[in-house]
Amino acid sequence: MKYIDEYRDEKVTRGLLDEIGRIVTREWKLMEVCGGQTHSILKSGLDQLLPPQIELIHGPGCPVCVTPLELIDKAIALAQRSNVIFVSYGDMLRVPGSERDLFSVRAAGGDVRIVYSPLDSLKIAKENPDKTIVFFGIGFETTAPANAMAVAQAKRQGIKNFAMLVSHVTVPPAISALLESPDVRVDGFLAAGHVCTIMGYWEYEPLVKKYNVPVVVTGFEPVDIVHGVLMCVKQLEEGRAEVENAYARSVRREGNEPAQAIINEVFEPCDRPWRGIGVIPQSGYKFREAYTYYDAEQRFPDIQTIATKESSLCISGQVLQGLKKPNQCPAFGKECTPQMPLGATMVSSEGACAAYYRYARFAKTALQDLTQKSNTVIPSEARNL
Amino acid sequence: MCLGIPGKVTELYEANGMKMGKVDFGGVVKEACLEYLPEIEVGDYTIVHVGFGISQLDEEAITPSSTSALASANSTKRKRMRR
Ligand code: SF4
Repeated sequence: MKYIDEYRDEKVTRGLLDEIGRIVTREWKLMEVCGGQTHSILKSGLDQLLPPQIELIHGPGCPVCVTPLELIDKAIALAQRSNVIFVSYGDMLRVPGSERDLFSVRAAGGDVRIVYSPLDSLKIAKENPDKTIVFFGIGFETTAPANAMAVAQAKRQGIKNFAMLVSHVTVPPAISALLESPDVRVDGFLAAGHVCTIMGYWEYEPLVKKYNVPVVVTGFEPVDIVHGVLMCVKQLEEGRAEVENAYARSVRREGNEPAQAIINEVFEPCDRPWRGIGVIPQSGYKFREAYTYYDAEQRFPDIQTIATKESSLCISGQVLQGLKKPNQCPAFGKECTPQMPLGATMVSSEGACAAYYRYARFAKTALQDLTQKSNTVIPSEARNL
Repeated sequence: MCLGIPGKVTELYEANGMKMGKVDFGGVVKEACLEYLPEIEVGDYTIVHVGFGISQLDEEAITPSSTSALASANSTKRKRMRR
């Protein structure tokens, strides 16, 4: 399929890998920000195919993983109410709350539904006028315009029985926080291609100047990722620190302006807690005054006081900051598996622990995956969109 | 979560005041909101994320540091496009 096959080409990937091997003279640690990139890297075995001097550190870019436990517990509390239909992206259902997950609420009779698009939740609202439809609005900048549009449409269409539990997070403040942290050593960043598709990459320009660290906007296919690594290593070897774009077919410097406009219409920046990491200033979105009617936390004020209980074994906060690899967690594959997860990073389709569990043991034959052709893969991926 | 899949726009229409379309992902056709892509037309490619087109893919985009290996990827792409 166009725009997929050519970016999964083994020969091109090998050529780029060879080129990295030719120019690299010392060790570099690069962080891929997005969990989707982490999965692609492990699936195609790139972590093992890159020259040994290059270490890929997995970043915090998994909105499911960083959604605070408190919000998950609130979601679970709302989903249990008989007057609520709780609507979510599929990824959230298996994320462990303090006591249970959304799947078990559904199994116990709660009305929990998975949608493909947030606009589908408006259809559900129209079909069920006697219930309140609560949509779990999570995601990075990539998802924010879609969620914002659902809220704006609810207002335009006069749909009153709709509310959103919002836990939106944004990438640049998280990168700044990582760069400020004394424990984190990252030489260069592969920025998340779809976040930048929406927001552009001008936001990284002051960051790059301030911290003197290269940022390369990178896509998700093996060729894209190796290309991003090559551009980043080139900068490091030449002593440059700039923002470059290795995903130009989708990303423009200014981003998608109509999408940014709807985010700004509905949401405004706020401080947000990240699960396992803590509060990062101005790293999320909350409703603007004009849209607070749709804020589920205000519509259901009695869900505010819920005591949370995090697993004492889980070190996902360190995994999310790139301080530990998932297989360095003592519980990895023992107390914690995708069937019995202790942390969100083990169940999210973008979680680093899930990727390590799923692909690590197939690493040696991973190149077979690399050449997998999209006509067998895409329809099922598209179904899960 | 940020998963996005490229597909070809096969139909455009309006619903609830929004620009909508059908997008073909190698045989699987889905509805997508294309409100954020004012210039997109039938036949163009977009990346779809949670039911929304987020970018209009640029066939001519060649990254600044085009390398020899990548140049060959681009020439394969060209060949495919001509067919
Ligand atoms: S392996 Fe499980 S317990 Fe360990 S960090 Fe990952 S999610 Fe947490």
